[in-house]
Amino acid sequence: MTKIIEFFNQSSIKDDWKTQYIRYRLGRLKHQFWLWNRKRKDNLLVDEYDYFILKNCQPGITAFFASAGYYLKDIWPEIISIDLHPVVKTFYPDALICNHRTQLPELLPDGVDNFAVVNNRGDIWTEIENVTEHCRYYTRVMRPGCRFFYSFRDTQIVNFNRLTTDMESYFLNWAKSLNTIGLDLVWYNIDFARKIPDKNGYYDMLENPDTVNGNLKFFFVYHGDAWKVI
Amino acid sequence: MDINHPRASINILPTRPLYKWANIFNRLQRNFFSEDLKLRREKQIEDFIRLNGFSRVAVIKDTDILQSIESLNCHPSQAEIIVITDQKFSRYPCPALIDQIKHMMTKCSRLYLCLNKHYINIDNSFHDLKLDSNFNIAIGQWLRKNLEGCMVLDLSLDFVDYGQSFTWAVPDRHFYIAHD
Repeated sequence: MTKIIEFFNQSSIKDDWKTQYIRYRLGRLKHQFWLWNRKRKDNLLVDEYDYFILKNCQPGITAFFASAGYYLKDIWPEIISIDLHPVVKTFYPDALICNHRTQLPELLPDGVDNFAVVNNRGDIWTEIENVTEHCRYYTRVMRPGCRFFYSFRDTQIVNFNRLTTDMESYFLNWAKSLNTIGLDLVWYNIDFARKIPDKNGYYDMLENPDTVNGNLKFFFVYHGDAWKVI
Repeated sequence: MDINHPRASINILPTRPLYKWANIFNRLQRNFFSEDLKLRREKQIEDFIRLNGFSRVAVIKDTDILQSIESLNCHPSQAEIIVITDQKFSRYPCPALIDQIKHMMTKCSRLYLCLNKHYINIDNSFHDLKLDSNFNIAIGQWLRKNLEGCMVLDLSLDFVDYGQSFTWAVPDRHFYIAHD
């Protein structure tokens, strides 16, 4: 008999590899770069925003958290790639897996100088206040002066009123508020679609820009001095 | 790390959309589960059509849902009701979305409209501080305020969507709109 459901938790999700991989894959678009690059020996592809992050990294230890950093590690082996999903380990054995952000200090006992979280699906689908808590966990592995690169999408932050809220101010104020946990905003790009009809009166029906990296991008420094973003 | 020393030559790719499963997203999600499932929202639409005796229905959708009413499908101008679940409809700026609803109502006097609340006011260009602080209530208020001469019935659930509710198969906000 067919079961009627409204929410994911009303039925059991299969635990076989294929199901887990597809679930991971659907929500992690950047994985596409690893799929592309594994067939190439040279001329490896790098997303321009990831390259922008890397250009702004300082010397020292660099970690990508839940952001398909393994595709970058194939190009720059010194990058540490950490993921929340055990399935990543099955296709990329060198990835570090943590069950929860609280485990980060165990995985990175020496701390890091650059920490990137690029549109991590595991960080969103929650209230903005909880995103602050995620960032607080990340600071536990940041050395003083660590550069923190954080991006996500407006459409996946929940429980605020999109009809009564100026969302640019909302997210910018949130970013500035992270100074209470030691993260000072250095650079940002808050990119909402500019929906203007064409000459025939038609609008583009696209999502907000950059569904891969997120349309809300922020660079922070942890207990340190701002740098000139390049 | 030293960005100047990659282990192979690299090619910087301008960021581009990489999502490519919109047409089969419902099937992909349902295949996560071992049980034979039906989405409650999809059944709500199908039952609304069947129980109210609609026999000519224009369905505007963007993924693999509502197969059971496919045989009733017809052109909007010949339909007794238009059903919209296409996610793209929710991505109009607010005033344009209202215009689109009015345009649909010129073709057919009844509309079953599904909106994805996460896309509402996608361009951040519209604000009405007089609307309710509850976003779910505010969406219905905004529609009623701007669709004079129409009855707007909210058929949705009042809940916070934490990404666990199949919204990209069937949007979460359901409205029945008809001329008064």
